Amino acid sequence: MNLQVDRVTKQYKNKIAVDRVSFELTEGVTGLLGANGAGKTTLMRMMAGILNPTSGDISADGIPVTSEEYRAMLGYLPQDFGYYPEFSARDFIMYFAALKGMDKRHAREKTEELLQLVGLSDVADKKIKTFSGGIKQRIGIAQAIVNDPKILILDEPTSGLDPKERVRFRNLIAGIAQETIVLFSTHIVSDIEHIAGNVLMMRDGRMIYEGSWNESKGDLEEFYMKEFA
Amino acid sequence: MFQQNFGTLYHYELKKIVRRKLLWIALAVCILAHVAGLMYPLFSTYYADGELTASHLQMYTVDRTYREKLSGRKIDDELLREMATAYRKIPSDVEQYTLTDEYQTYARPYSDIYGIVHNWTGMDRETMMDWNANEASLYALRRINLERDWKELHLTETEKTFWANQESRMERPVTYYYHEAYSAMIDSYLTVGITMLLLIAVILSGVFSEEHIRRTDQLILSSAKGKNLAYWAKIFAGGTVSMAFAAILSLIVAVLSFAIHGTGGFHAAIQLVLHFYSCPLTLGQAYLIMSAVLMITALLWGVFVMVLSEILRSNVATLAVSTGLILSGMIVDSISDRFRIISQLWDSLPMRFLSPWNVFSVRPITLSGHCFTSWQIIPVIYILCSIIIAILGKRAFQQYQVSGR
Repeated sequence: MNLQVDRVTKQYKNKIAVDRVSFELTEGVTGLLGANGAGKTTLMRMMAGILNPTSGDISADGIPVTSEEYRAMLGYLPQDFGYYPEFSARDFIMYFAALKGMDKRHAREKTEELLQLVGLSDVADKKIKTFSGGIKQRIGIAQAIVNDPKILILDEPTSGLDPKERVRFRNLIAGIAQETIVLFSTHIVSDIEHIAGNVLMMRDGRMIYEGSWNESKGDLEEFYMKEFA
Repeated sequence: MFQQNFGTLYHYELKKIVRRKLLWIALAVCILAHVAGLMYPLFSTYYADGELTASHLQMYTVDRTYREKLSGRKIDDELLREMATAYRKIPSDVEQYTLTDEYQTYARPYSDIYGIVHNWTGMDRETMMDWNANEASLYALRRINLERDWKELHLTETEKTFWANQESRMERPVTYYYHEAYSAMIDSYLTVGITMLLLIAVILSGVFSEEHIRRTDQLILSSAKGKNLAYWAKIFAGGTVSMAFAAILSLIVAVLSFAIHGTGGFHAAIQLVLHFYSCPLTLGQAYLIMSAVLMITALLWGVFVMVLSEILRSNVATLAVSTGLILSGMIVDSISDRFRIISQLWDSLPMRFLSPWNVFSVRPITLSGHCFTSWQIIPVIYILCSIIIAILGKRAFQQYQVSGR
């Protein structure tokens, strides 16, 4: 699969949040690095189909971002999102499985599998309002991957996770990325340096680096610090 | 619209609404208020000349016995003469005739018939004392009163003919049935309607706005079924809750009224309570119509509140606008009949329509030369409006852009 972002711009009244950004993604993890306000979240929202670009196109194998077909292939974990306090963890994942068009039987099987995977089987029927931020983030991750997405957009997914959970999450994403396009935004380089085969860097709405990163190119964190210092 | 997963999404949307504590608290308060409202009149007391004469419960028990005795009798020459003879026994020189022994002994058993004759003909007690009580005169005077009413309401000739035809279809002489429960149900209809509108506004003002406030909107809108099916699931769930409220309130008022007053009166003519209405309906049929109107109004109001919550994206703003509209319906009590169209349109709005005199309005609606009653046309318009508002709301929901934050 090929996810194409073609000269995408998002302009607000007197501010350009994303400025003529183009790139293509294929299966594997792509890390999106950038300081706060660089335009990462705006770009990801446009790629998730919840924010229209001012200009430019986004499509996956020719399927436009605005179509239901595109959204059916999508898994999205926003940076900051809420929950239904009266729902249990199981309800929450089942609800989003239904929203993603999964049939009930498949949704139920997948929900149980994911609850196990994110370590929430024991508390699956507890109300979300009783959970800590870290557990809530794990539920968010589960809803993002419940439909086995072909495109997975993760906006700062490790925020709120403790170090042990971060490692577990990285391993989970690395496994998924075999057959999925994963775009993983963060401003913490260590989150992606071991799993991202491809790196994008944004500054002031513009793409300043795009390509693979390996040890021969030096230390990614050093490069990042130099660019954003 | 009803694709795969609609049922599951509908179930979850319903769960989001009914799991809110606020819903159950508001419903409980509402039910208690209606119980108190229906029971209160029986537990108050009656004073005459500053002296306690009887409790309302005692008065009610006596009147109920008399009314039940009359139940099933036709309001014909015989009954009218009995009533007139009994009332003539009351001394004419007393200030408060209801306190005289003559009234209590002879006239009170016929007080409901007296009330009906008074309301139908407009005669006061003095005129009635000289009246040659008979059936033909009663219906002739009723007709004169009706025609005066039609003129004051600026009805057209077609509309007058329509009502005249309806009036001629009435069973004559009208049979009197004990109908206290139905009177109570019709009396409380306006209160039920207003509380229902408020309750729906409180409960549904967050259906869409809370998705934006909680930031779950981005998860929904990025899902395959999030821009279409999820919207309809929400609308249907909110519509179901609204209609369920209406059904519950209607049922509670009916059960309580029957428990207090007995079940009699289903077959009584509507004219015993709504005196100037000419359709040949029974009170039972009238209450069923009113309940159906209540449910359809609940649907329209529910859809309106939900769509407003999507447009305003704030519970408080949605509640403020909805409450403001309800209050405006109470404050601007009515518009002069001289401005017939505006007046009729105003009275057809949900916050005005839920009253017995608007559901059974004497102003018909004329379409292609044919006259229809309000309760025949307005509910159909409400259903169409619900669909149109829901479609407009869907555009707002689909076009929402997740930005800022």
